[in-house]
Amino acid sequence: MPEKILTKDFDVKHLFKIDEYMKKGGYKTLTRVLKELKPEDVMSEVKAAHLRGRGGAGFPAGVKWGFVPKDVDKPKYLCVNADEGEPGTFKDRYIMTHNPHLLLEGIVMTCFAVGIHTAYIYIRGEYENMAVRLENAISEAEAKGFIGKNILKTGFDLNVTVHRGAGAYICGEETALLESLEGKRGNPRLKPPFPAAVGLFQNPTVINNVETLSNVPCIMEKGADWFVKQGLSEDGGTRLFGVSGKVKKPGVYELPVGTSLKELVYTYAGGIKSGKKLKAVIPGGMSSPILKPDEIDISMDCASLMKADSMLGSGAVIVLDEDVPIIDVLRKVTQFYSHESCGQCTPCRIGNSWINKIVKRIYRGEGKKEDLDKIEKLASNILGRTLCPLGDAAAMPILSIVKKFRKELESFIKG
Amino acid sequence: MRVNIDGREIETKHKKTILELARENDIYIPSLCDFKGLEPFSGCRLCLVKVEGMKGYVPSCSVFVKDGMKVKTKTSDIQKLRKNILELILTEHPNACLICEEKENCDEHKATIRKVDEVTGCVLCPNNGRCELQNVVREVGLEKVRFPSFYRDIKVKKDDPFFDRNYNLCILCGRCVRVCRDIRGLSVITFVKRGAKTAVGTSFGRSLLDSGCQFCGACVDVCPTGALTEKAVKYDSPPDKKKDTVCPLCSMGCSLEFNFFKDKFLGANPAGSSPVNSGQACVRGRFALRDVVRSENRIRKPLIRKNNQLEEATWEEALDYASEKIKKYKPDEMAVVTSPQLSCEDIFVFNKFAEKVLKTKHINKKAEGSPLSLVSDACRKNGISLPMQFKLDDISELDAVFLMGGNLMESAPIVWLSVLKALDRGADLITAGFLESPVDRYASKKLRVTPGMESYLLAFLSKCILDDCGGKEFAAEKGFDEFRRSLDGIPYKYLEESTGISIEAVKQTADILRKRDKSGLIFAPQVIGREREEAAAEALLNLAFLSDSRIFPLSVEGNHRGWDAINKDFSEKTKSISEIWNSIKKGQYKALYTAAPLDIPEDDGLELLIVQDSFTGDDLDKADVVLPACVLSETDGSIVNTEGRIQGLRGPLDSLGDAKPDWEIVTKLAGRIGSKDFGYTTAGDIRKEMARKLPRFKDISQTLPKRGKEVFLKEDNEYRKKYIPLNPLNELEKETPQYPLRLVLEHGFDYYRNCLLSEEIAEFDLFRSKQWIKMNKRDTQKYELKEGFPVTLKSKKGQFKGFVHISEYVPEGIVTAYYIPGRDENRADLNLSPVKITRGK
Ligand SMILES: Cc1cc2nc3c(=O)[nH]c(=O)nc-3n(C[C@H](O)[C@H](O)[C@H](O)COP(=O)(O)O)c2cc1C
Ligand code: SF4
Ligand code: SF4
Ligand code: SF4
Ligand code: SF4
Ligand code: FES
Repeated sequence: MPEKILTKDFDVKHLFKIDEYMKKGGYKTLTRVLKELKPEDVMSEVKAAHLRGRGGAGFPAGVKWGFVPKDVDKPKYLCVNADEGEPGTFKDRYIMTHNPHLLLEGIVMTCFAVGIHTAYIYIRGEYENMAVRLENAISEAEAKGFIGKNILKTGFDLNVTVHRGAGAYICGEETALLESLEGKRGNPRLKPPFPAAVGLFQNPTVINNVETLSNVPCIMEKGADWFVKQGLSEDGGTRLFGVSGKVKKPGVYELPVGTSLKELVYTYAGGIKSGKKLKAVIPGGMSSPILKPDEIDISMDCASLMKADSMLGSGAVIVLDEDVPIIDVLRKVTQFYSHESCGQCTPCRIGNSWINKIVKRIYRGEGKKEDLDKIEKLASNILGRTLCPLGDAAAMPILSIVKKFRKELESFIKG
Repeated sequence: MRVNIDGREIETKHKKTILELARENDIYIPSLCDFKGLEPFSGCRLCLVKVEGMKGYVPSCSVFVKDGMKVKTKTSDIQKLRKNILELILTEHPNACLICEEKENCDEHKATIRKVDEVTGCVLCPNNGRCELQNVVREVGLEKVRFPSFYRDIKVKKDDPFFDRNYNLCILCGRCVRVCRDIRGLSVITFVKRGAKTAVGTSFGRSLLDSGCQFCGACVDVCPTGALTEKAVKYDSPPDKKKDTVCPLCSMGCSLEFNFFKDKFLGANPAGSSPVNSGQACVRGRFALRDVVRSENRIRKPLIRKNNQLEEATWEEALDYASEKIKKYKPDEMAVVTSPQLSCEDIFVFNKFAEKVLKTKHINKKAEGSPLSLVSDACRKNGISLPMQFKLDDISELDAVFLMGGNLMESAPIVWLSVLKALDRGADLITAGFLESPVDRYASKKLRVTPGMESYLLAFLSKCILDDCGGKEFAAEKGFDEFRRSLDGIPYKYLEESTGISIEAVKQTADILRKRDKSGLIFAPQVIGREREEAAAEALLNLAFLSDSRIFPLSVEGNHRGWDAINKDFSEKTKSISEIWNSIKKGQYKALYTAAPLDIPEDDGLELLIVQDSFTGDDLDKADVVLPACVLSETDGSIVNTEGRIQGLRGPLDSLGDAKPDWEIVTKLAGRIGSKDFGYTTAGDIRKEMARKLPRFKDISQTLPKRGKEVFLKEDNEYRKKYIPLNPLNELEKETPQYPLRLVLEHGFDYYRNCLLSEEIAEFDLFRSKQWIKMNKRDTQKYELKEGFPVTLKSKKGQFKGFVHISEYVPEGIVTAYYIPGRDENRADLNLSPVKITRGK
């Protein structure tokens, strides 16, 4: 097993309590960072670490922070994206359940780097236990002086608040998240302006995923160079791959970025259950285009998957075996997106709803010959034409499934 | 900036979107969700274009042009894409007619031209012929829809007043949502649900009436489809003619377009290009005005009382009758009542008539309940001069707004829109008044003052400012010492108790007003009795001086500012309408000539009552002669709005029956009585004389006929301060077990001369009834009352009736009722006094 970074102490009992976390060296780095370093130092270290966002888009975190204007007379905000809505994804909950303080330590460092004094953790509504756990952890950290006014007597203030979502996938999209946090309906905003300039309550805002921020303490502890070396590709560090589906050992695996997908499925997750044959893998959450067995000999990093016309996304690997009818998969996908479209823009709202209707009819055995072409047309009419990336997130997997499993799909269509 | 669109080089200066630039240059890009003045939404995706160097397609409605930008709007890819997107939209919209091959010839072929509510195609749709979707389909050239259509089958919502909502026709462009939220500050309607079920609706699907809708009609005006349609005209043809005019129903003076089809007056829309209301109006102008001006209760012929019966007469007879009678009385036996709902020309002629012909001083020149008149009276009395005219933009640019008195959404809807703009730019709003109001949700501070104690609250603010800064900087100013002494005499504790507001809240407010660069005090109408209103106006002036705030005293009726400016020779002797009413009650006059709605008291002792009005009202019961007056929309008079802007009405309507403009009636009467000074044949003649004689009206002749020219009253530019010592107020009578509630009157705005909007228009009555007695829900429970119950309010001094209306904005222990000066004088006495409420008529 390669070295774990984030999850190395996760088997420690009660790690979620601050005393245990501190026994393991927690908050030590924060103390050093706040007392000895300047914000710029943190920012450049993270930039050098090539820490890519773990939420889906894979944007380099340090670069994103750099977009926040420095000398503005406005409050700035950090929004931690803990909405974890991407189907197949269950890694952020792993962190928040076992080691909320790691996330908090990362939050404080990030805010210090960017000059932020208010952070919100936007957590999906269903994660009630984790929300409570985070709130307790914040209280603990406040009591110890790691969060709150005048942190560790360095003069740095930070207030952290947990906000629970109300159950819409779209609220994981960063601008919809902002709207929702402001108390409005979670509809994505137009970009530009980008949140770094005009975000929460119209003020500069950084939005990062839970896992992304949880990497910051290790980077600051051991340095960017060390962090980069942990990855097997250009990008630094490890990823928490959430493997689900028809594997023997589903679960969250922390492995170097760039680990081979094949190895992940067969070695770490124990291979396909009950000796069945592999049918396909969805490599990065439901939004990522599907891969066939002959495509999984691939390095799990952003660039390689992009080259294979898929994406690393949230690192949620969904494994399908030969028994899974592809029409089931397609139906799940189209149902999900047509239901979760916020309804703002035409192609996504109406397009997805028609795709879903057509897929349902195929599923019922009432498909028509031209249906697959229609689905492709509709999906291409969504791709690149919508207001927010949900449109693409829907169109890409649908197109890939129809393309790669056309034969099988045709077999469901009788006439 | 140089921008290249489809190979054409276009030069432009200002920041604008690609779509805007294309439109200016007649380059067609289809669009459905974009609307001028609304934030870009980019939801429909019809306007996608290609921009060199930018990834994919970009929505031209939200991407701003840059120097050197190269845009393509017509490539075959884009044309195809548009068709695809439009096709999707049409799958959710009845589309048979939209893509019918015969649609151009349909008028000849179609079986029916009836419009219906279950709309299955354009020919049956109320919006047919004025629909943007039809235009877009035509331009994009869509001929086929390859999907079966999906009919949402949502019940048409018809239970609310004024407009219907048929969401089966909605294309979810979000314009209504944006206009309601961003321009009107309300969010009555919003997107609900998600995915294919996404729709526009109210929260929890309640009616508009129950969702705080103000029925401004803005959503109807921006809707591109037939989803939102005005009930009154939905089955009519689209207008074939439009005429510009100004709304006479309140002092905003909104520019309106009157719509006609074959000379039938269909109704009014706010004019988009107006510097006053830029495309917005309110329920009165947008929906009520049509029914008001064409009311069944218009007086069409002169009437003379014969054998105790009013009988139709000719103008000759009526004028002869009136003039013969008038000649019999001595000046002091006669009174004239004018109204701020008359045009400048009318008021000028009325004043001249009273002065030159009747030679009476008994004409109302003091306004009732109008902040503008109160403040300008206080200035005149004390030798103060400061700018009181303003532009609405001045309000949008404030960074702190102190709003005194009530609900601007009701009293001054367009001023409220300007306040919203200021808030949008980060201004603070502080509201002060005795009622809660829907504007409060925007307030960073709410000062709930004990009714009647407004002047003390303002003095309280002044005192805090002075004690905070020491007051040295003001010491040399006129009247300061005496003013300061009057404040020093009152302890904070007393101020806290009498106003009901804590010193912390007052201090914070004082701080905001003093420290902000651009703070403004908006003084909106409230009815607290003449003395208290005057005291409040004076206290407001003091506060404005101390906090270096600009004051915005609003006017109320359509021509309040004009009326006030003409009546400028205010002296102690001139009277307000209430004072004249009281004199009538005392039997002081033998003859009364009124052009304002008046509740004529019993046993008045009047021998001659001349009523000049456009509508029949209770005062006709006692009238000896009735002279039918035109409504303002039938005249080419001018009115002055709350800003001081003089606007021409431009007579879009023909006069009804034998009605004549007020000035003409007075002119003719003056001639009959033998005066030679009234040689006017047109309103323009009067304007010329006004321009000569009244310096403030120097430019009045320029308001007509050219449109778009901005003309204001001339203002004295001097700035003369003087502090006015605080006048102690009488204590209010305390509530008793027998009279446990306190009555507070609210200014009624929903009337035009003798026409009460809520009586004239049943739908208006649902929205806002003149008959309402508003009270808190808990009080209704306590007194075992329910919504709509007929009740009587009784105080030691009198009583009146109404219907219970439960309002979340009225605090416990208070009941409110509407008051219209002149009309409701029998209520005035009861104001602020303890009352009891009993069920039944
Ligand atoms: C439809 C949609 C849903 C998303 N849901 C999530 C989510 O649940 N959690 C998350 O971290 N990012 C989600 N994202 C990505 C965020 O928009 C954003 O890119 C991310 O939070 C940035 O953080 P990172 O740079 O640290 O990854 C979603 C994006 C889209 C378009
Ligand atoms: S793409 Fe879908 S989710 Fe995104 S804004 Fe458009 S309708 Fe909403
Ligand atoms: S009428 Fe006015 S207030 Fe009512 S929903 Fe429409 S825009 Fe909003
Ligand atoms: S009701 Fe009209 S304005 Fe509102 S979203 Fe629907 S089509 Fe657009
Ligand atoms: S009543 Fe006033 S606000 Fe309403 S439309 Fe007329 S002028 Fe405008
Ligand atoms: S007009 Fe631009 S997207 Fe609708």
